[in-house]
Amino acid sequence: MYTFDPMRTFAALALLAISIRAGAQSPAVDMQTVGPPVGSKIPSFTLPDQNGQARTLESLMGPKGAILVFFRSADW
Amino acid sequence: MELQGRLKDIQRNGLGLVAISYDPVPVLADFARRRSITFPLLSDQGSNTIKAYGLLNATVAPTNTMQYGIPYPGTFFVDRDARVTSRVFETAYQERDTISSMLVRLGRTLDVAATKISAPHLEVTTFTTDQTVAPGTHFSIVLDVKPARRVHVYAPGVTGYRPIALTIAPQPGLLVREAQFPRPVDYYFKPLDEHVNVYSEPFRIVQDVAIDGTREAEAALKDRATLTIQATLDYQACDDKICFNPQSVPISWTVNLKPLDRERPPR
Repeated sequence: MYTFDPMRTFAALALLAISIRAGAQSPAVDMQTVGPPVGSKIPSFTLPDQNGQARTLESLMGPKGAILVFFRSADW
Repeated sequence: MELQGRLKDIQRNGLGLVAISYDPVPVLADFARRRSITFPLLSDQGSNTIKAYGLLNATVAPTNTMQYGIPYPGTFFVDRDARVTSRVFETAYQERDTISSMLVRLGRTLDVAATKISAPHLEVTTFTTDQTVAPGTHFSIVLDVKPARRVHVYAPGVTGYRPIALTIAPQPGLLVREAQFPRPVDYYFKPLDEHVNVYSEPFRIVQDVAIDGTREAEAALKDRATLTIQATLDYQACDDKICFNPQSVPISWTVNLKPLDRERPPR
């Protein structure tokens, strides 16, 4: 028979709230597994820079390598 | 972008810097002009490179025409052969490790003003990797410790002596993350015929901290211009003959707080 248990209802609601929050905060994607892992070679590319000039990965290297930052957007 | 401010440090470490997004060239040109950015911003319109890297954000539906094509935001460090030496990806876009903090954690040098702390038997200089931080910023506190001549201090985990420890006082809005201590050396103390892990040469402690990026914390910090982080450095110094009293040295750092960067291009 179903009986109303306020504690249980509260606990269920709290859990629901946590899972909604977690869903909003972080997608169900493991960020440690996306993209090239440590030790792997990244693909080369040719892309235009902000001045419209074509750049390759090789042309952007410093004497010891490079830092590549992927960001969402400069527009929003 | 914080990156521009660290361009010299990055170049001094022999590294090139490039930022990639799916924005068209004119958007990047406008962004670079508004923020005085001089390093290359690359336009991956159509997101082919983002896809080739396996970074296409799959949580955005293709029907969302504005956002479809964005990457999971993250940073790669590569060597001359284009091999990944290190990578940092955040779980939420508001969260981000500063480039200065990444450089320090990788053992690279940073041109930042450091403060000298008075601590018995040690020379301690300290700095934060960033002077200005926002909700969600992950940065680091750095302590460079130089034991006096013939003196050693005990490494974390040692029992029987007071091991070195940096304890950050908790406060709302501040998240204390992991600390990096270097590998200690084995010290043989003949009178007691014991082996202990110590530091006797200059060493660096890197303590990662973050400004809480939750909306609650953001609201709580809204009217604050600065945040002072307080800590104690506990340790015990000994030389080859005697052990000095355990010390507890207070240290504090003040960083400027700014709101989350919500500046958008004028429409």
